[in-house]
Amino acid sequence: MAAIDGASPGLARRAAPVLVGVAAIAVAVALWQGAAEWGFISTFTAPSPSDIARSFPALFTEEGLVRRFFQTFAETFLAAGFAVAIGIPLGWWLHRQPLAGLAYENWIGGFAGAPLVVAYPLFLVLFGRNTGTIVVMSCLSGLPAMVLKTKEGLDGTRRVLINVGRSFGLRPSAMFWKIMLPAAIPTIANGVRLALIFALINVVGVEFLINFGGLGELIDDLAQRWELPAMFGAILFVILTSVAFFWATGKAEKWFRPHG
Amino acid sequence: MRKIIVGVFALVAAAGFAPGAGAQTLKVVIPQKGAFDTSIVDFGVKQGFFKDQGLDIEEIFSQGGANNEQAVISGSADFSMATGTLGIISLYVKGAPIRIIGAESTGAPDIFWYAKAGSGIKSIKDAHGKTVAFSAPGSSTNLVLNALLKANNVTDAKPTATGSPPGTLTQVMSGQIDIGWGVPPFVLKEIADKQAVVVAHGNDAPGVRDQTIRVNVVRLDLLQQNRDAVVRFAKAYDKARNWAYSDPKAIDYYAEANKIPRDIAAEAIKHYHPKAQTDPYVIKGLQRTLDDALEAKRIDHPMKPDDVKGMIDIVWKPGQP
Amino acid sequence: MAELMATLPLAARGRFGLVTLIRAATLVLLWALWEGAARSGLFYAGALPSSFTIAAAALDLFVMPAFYYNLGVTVLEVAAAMAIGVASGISVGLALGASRFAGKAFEPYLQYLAPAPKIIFLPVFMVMFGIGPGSKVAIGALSCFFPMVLSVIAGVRQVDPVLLRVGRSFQLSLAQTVAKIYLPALLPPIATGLRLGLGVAIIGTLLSEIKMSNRGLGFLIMQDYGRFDIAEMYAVLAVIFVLVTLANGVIARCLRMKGRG
Repeated sequence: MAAIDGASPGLARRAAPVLVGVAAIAVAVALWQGAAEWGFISTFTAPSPSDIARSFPALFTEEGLVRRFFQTFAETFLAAGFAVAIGIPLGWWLHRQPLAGLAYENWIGGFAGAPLVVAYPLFLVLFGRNTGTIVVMSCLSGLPAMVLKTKEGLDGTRRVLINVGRSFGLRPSAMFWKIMLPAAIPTIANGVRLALIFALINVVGVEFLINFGGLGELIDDLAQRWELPAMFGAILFVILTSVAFFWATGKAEKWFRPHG
Repeated sequence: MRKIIVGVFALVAAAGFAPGAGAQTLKVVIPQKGAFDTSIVDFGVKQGFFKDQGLDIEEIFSQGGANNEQAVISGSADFSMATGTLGIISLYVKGAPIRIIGAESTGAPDIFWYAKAGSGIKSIKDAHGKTVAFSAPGSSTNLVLNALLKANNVTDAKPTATGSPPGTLTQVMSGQIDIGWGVPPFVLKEIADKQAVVVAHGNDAPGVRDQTIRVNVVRLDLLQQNRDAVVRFAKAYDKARNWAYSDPKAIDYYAEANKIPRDIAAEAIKHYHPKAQTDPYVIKGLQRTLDDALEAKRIDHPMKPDDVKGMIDIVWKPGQP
Repeated sequence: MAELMATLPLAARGRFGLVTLIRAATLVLLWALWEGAARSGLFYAGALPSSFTIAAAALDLFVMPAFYYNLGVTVLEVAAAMAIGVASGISVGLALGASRFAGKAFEPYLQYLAPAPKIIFLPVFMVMFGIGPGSKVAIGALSCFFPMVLSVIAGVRQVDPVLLRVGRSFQLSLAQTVAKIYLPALLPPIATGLRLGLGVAIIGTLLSEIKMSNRGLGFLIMQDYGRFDIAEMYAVLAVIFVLVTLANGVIARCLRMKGRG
C-alpha cells in the first residue's frame, strides 16, 4: 500500500485521476440505468437516471426552482448576516475581557456542537412556521463559529504589531481599527465563511423539516407527492448548489488572506 | 470487537424487526396519535379484538400525509390508516401497489376554525382581510377552507399554511394569525375556558359533508397473497369501531392519551366524531375528490370514478362471513 | 477591582474561582430571564413554561419506563450508525489516503459532498430501508462517514514514510501494515473523526426519528409536540443536550487516556 510518487507529472498524468473519477461516476450511473431498465430495481421507488434528467425542465417551469433558489439563499444570507452582526461584537468583547473569554469560550464551543436543529418543534411553537423560524435557527447555528473566529483572530494579533502601535502612542480605538482588526480579518473571514456554510446547511434542513421555504421545502413537497424523479433531481440540484457555494466562499475567503 | 459489532446489529434487528409469536404480525401506520378516529386500531389492540382474529398489530405513529404512504409503499407497513384520499388517488394513478380497503373519515366534522376570544371574529364571514390557517398546501384543511371561504363569499381572506395544530395554536394566541385551525382535543380546553371561539366547522363547507376525505389503505401484495388476513383485520376494525362508540371506556382511553379531563373528552367525541363519520364501507364524493386532485395537480388530466374503480377493494362488510 | 476582590470569599479570589463565579452568575441570570419571560405574558403560556414546570416534567420522565425504552432505541441506532460510518470511513479513508491516484480521483467528490445537508436524503432512505431503524441508521451512518473519511485521509498522508519503509523491510502483509502501522498512527485523526461524527450521527438519527418513527427520543419529541405537552418536550430536549455533552466528554476523556497510555 505504498503511496504512489507523483513527481513531475505531465498533463495526461494530471488528467488521469480526474478522468478515472468521472468514469467511475459514469459507470455507476450506467449500472443504475441498466438495473432500472432490466427490472432489477423498481422504478416506482428508485427512478432511473434518465427519468431524473427528464424531470429537470419541469423543476424550473412548474416547481419554481429559480424562485426557491433565491428564497433559500436570501434566508441563508440573512441568517449569516445576523450571525456576523452579533458574533463579531461578541467575539471582540470576549477578546477585550479575558475573564469573560475564559468563562464563556468553552460554553460557546459546546453550543456549536449541540444538536440545536432537533429542537425545531420548539421553535415552531415559539415563532410559528415561517421564515423567522428558519432564519433564527440558522443564525444560531452559525453564531458560535463567528464568535470564536473573531476572538481567535483578535487574540492572534502579533505582539510586535501591538508594540509598534504603542510606540506610536495610538489610542485604543486607533489600535483596534488600524492594527488589530486588519490583522484579524483573515480569521474573521474564515468565521464568516463558516457562518455562511452552517447557515446554508441549516436553512435547507429546516425548510425540509417544516415543509416551508425554498429548496428544502421543494424536496419535501416532491416526496409528499411521490414525484420521485423530480425529488431526486431536486436533491441533486441542492448538492450541486452546496458545492458551488462551498467553492465560491472558499475563493472569497482566500481573497482576504495575506499574499506573499 | 467483532462480537460487540455483531451484538449491536443483533440488538438493532431485535428492536426493529422482532416478530410476534404465533399470531400473524401486521404493521399499521397511524397518524395523529391520540385523535379519536385514528385511535380505533389502538382501541382494538387494547381490547384484544385483533388477537381474537389471530392478528398481532404493531402500531407505528407518524405525522401523517406522505409519511404514511411511504411506509406502505416501501413495505415497512402493511396498512396505512387515515390517509388523505387525494394523495392515494395520486399514487394509484402513478401505479403504486396500494388499495383502499375502507373509508376512514367522510365529511370533516372534526376540523374546525377558531379565533382568539375578544378578537371580534365570530364566524368565517368575519375573515375579510384576515389571515386564516390551514395545515399545508394540498391538504384536506386547505381544500375545506377554500370551500368555506367560497361559500361565504370571503374573497379577500389570506389563507396561510401554519402546519400542525400545536404551532397554529401559539400563532393564534400570540396574534401572528387571526383564525387558526384545529382538531380535537386541541383548543377544546381554550374554548371551554373562553380563551378561544369556534368560527367554522369543516362540515359547514358545501359538499364536504358527503365527501370521503381520508381512507384506510393496504399494501397490494399483502392483499393478493394473504387476503384472509386483510379480511380479519377489517372484521376486528369493525368490532373496535362499534366498541369505541358504545363503551364508556373509550372515553377514558381518549382522555388519558391526550391528558384532558374526561368531560372534555366526552364532549369532543359527541360533537366532533359522530359515528357516521367513520363508516368504512362507502367511499363517497369520489368525483369531487378527483376534481380536487386535478386542481391540486395531484393528477394531470380529468378523471371519472370508473377510471379509478380498481383502487377500491372493500374486502368485508357486516353481514358477510 | 481590588475592593471587589476583597469582598469575595477566599476560594473565589483566584482566576479559576472568578471564572466559576462568572459562570454561576450567568446561569442564575439566564434562569431569571427565562422565568421572567415565562411569567411576562409575552409568550402564550403553553409555549414557554416555567422552569419549575419543566423540572417537574423531567422528574415524571425519569420514572417512565417508556422513556428508557425510547432512549435505548436511540442509543442503539446511533451506535449502529457510528459502527457503520466509522468502519466505512476508516476503510475508504485508508484506501484514498494511501493512494495518491485514488485520492485525486475521488477525494474532491467527498470534499464537496461533505457540506451538503444529509437530512435531504431521508425520503430516499425511507423508500430504500423503510420507516424502521434501517432508515435512521442509514442517515446517521451517512452523516458520520464524511468527517471520518476526510479526517483519515488527512491522517494517512501524514504517516511517517520511515514507518512504512520499516514495515516493507519486515515484509509485512497488507493487513499487518494496516493493523501495526497505519491504525496506531491514525489514532489522533480517528479520534477527531469520532468526535465530529458522533455529533452529526446523533443529529441525523434524531431528525429521522422526528420525521417518522414509532420509537426513540425523536418520536417522544413529536409525541409531546402533537399533544402540546411542551414542558415534557423541553425536558426531553434538555436530556438530549445533556447526553450529547456527556458523550462528547466521555469520548474526549477516553481518547486522552489512550493517548497518555
